[in-house]
Amino acid sequence: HRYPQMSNVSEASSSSALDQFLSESSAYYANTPNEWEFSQMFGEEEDNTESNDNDNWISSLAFDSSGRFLAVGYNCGQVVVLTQQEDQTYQLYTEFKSHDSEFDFLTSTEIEEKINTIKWYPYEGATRHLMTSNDKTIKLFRMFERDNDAAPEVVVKPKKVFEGAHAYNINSIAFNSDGETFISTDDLRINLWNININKEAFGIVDIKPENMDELNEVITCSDFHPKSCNILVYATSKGIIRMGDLRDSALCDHHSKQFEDTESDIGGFFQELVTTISDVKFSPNGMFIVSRDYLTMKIWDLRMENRPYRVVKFHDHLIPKLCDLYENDSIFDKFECTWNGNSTRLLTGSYNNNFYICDAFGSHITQMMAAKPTNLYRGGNQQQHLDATLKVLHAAWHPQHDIVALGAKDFGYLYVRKTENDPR
Amino acid sequence: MLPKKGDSPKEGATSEDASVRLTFVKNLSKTAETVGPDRFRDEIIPEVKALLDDDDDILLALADELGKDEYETYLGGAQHNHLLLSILESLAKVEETGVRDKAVASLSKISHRIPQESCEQHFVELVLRLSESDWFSPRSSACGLISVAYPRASPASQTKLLLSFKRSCEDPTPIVRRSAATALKKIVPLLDKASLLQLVESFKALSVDDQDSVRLLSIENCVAFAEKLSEEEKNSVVKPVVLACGSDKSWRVRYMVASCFTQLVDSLGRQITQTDLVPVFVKLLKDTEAEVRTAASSKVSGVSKLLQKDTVIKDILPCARALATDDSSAVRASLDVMGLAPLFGKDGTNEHLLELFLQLLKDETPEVRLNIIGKLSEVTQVLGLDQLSQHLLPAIMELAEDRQWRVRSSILEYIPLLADQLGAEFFNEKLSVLCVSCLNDCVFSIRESATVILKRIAAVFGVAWAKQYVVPKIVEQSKHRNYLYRTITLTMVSSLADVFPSSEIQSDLLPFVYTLATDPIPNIRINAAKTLNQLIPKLETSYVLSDIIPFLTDKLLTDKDRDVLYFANVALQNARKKQ
Repeated sequence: HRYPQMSNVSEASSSSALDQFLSESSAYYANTPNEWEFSQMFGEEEDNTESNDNDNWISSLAFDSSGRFLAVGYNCGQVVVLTQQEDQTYQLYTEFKSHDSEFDFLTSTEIEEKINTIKWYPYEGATRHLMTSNDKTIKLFRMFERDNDAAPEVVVKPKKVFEGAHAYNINSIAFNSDGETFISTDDLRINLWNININKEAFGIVDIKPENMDELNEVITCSDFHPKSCNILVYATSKGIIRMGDLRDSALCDHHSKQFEDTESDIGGFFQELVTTISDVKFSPNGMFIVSRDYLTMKIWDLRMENRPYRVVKFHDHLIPKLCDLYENDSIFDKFECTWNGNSTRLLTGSYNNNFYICDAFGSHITQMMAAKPTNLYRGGNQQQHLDATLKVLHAAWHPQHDIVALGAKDFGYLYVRKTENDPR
Repeated sequence: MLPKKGDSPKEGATSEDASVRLTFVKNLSKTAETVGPDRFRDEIIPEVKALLDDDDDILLALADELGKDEYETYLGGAQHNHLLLSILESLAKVEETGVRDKAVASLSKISHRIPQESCEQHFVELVLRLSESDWFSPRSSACGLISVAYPRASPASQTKLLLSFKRSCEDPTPIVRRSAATALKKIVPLLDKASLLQLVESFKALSVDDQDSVRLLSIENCVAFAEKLSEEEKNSVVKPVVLACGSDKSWRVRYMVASCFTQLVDSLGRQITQTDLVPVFVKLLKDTEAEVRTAASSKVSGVSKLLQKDTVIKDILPCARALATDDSSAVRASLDVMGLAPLFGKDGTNEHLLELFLQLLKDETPEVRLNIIGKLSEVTQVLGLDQLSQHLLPAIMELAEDRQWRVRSSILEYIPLLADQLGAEFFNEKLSVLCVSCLNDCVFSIRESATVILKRIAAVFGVAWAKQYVVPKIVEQSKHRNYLYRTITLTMVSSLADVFPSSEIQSDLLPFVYTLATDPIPNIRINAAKTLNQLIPKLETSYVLSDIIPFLTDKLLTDKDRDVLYFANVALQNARKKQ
């Protein structure tokens, strides 16, 4: 059924922030049913051609802090920016080439132009800024409208390039709430930058072992706290999340907290592979972290390190199929996850172009399939056959409205929450 | 790339090429001179306005240019200054901090030229407009302009300016609060007591801001406030903030306290320092974060000079001793205890400090030892040399032989200072060997430094000393088997020539040049010719005519090497000019 059970909030006298938040969440779930419908699809539809060329595959998605803009990054280094119209749909605003592929002379390898991450500058100004990154280079762009005689023209100009600071591939970038600094993370290191200075960065985390033969853990993702300028988290391939406090010392090698779920144990050969964390995000209210591993999403209360506050399971049907998924390398897929604007729901993608929207502190999970509604569309029930080539790796949630963006290969999808059944 | 003749001067502004547009901006003054005020205002200024959404480096150049005084003339007089103001106002709204800061600086400069009658309308209103903008960057710029506008504003506007400033201190965007915190210390000196007290709440709020980057700016504001408040107010208003920042959770805030400590002591006064600040300083000297300890340890002497001697002995010295064995070499290298010697006097220094100096002098890290040697003058004034020299020398020798050439270079820099204090006899016995060996160092930079050092010492000890002790060394040098080391002889000669009178140059130094001018290696002969050229201005004219010119014409102009001929010719031209 659609509506989540109301939690027992009889202890109304409890004044802790957590209790208050949980009771508000319950009310929220009751008032806003977790039902969604297709809104838009964007991407070039090639009739019948099975395109092996993955240049046009979406590689990252990001809403800005107002939600008015949605940036989409592609494997070919292109970034498309869509803007929200009055009717809540998104139209093309501008597009630009962010990165070009380069040749790394030192290692004789090609540096792909694929955009790994896009983040918008957290504070709104007359000009908007967004930051994009490929494996090695981070770029800050400014986007603004220029009044021309004819029609206002949208201009995107590169403002700063931050390069040469990563020996390994960059997997995340995150802005600090101070509006002045940001971090960039690769497999073994995290650098702290000032957005006005591209000649210098501070290395604040370094997990490279003295002897590279002993390497058994890499950093997979990181995030800054949305409000506290001193808190950051980074997650590793061993399923561990470490929290660093920039106030403690100049170097964050000594984590101030370490979150690890030692109970989750499917055992066997695949244990390690499925615990690697593919994405980690602070909740917008700053109270929780969500970590996405292959089979679950785990919600952590920042004050409790030894176990997750909740584990959201939606991939149990994959457990019997882990062998196949390992054979075709799908077990290494990195799925993104994201919170909604009030920290009550979570979104993540899956196979068969499915995506899940889960009540973070309730039990309801909505499963949908990202596809253009056609006559043949049958709704989001579990498919018989697991198609791991159709995957929604990238997902983003509008910070203020219930609009979600999903990226699956060439196509982007926008889904909105159905409001017609909302209780008055 | 100057505009070509026939080009309209304004074409550069619309070029597709960013470097052309940048040149246009940098040549704006030339353009103004060419076209005259009327055309500048009517044609060029609109072009400039079109550049306002251009790249940061062009905007930065523009903000810089327009602040220059000449533009008032270019525009045709002070009545047109407002044209500049509107352009700079737009630049002050830009997101890039560098451009905004430059625009604010230029606006400040221009504001002094605006006559009082129109200042209110043109400048004060501009600042208020910026502070009320919807976007954070103009609000941020406004903070930097308030201290400039305030003195020139009417009382009614002053109230408005203060009100807008208070709002900035509570702005939702950290960027604006940071600008406000930075600007506060410039505003405080301008205010009367009543207005000052209005800002106390804002000052306190900024000092407990969530953002570390805002809180750490409070320290300098503490100094500014303390300078204007009464003793009682300092105790109630400023002291709590200093104490809170001294134990802030963020090491960056504590670092600021440490690095501004002498100013805090000065502004808060003896009483508060003795009772409350000393414990704070001690805590900083023992801080868990090395960066904080480094900042605090560099202030040990500066702060101690303002304290009572007993306090220093009881509270500060034990910490200093601990810092001398700190794990971090940066901390040990910044430890400034030498300045304590004058405070303690001869007996006190012997009793309390000598051991500390000697320990640091034997530190394994070169930078620590260099730090001590560099500050010796304060100690030698008190103690006298004999005690030190027996310890100093081994330390100096070791540093002079360090594997890292930059360490060797640093110790070489200190030699003249030591020579001056230690005297000629000491130098001859102990240090001269060192200097001469540096002439033969494998690193060129050291060899070159050695020649400069020897010159400086010669300047201190005199020509007679140099002739007796340095010249013989040059003789040896000029006979070195390796041409690289022979070459340095010529550098030595040029260097010494700066402190030798003409006659001595002629009698004692030139012979080397003559000899080396016939060296088998062309490179040396070239350098000999160059050296002659350099020396000619310092020689007596008669000598030049009688000796130099013939030498050049006979020996060098018959040389087979083209480059030798060239430089010999140059020298000859120069010599002939003396006639």
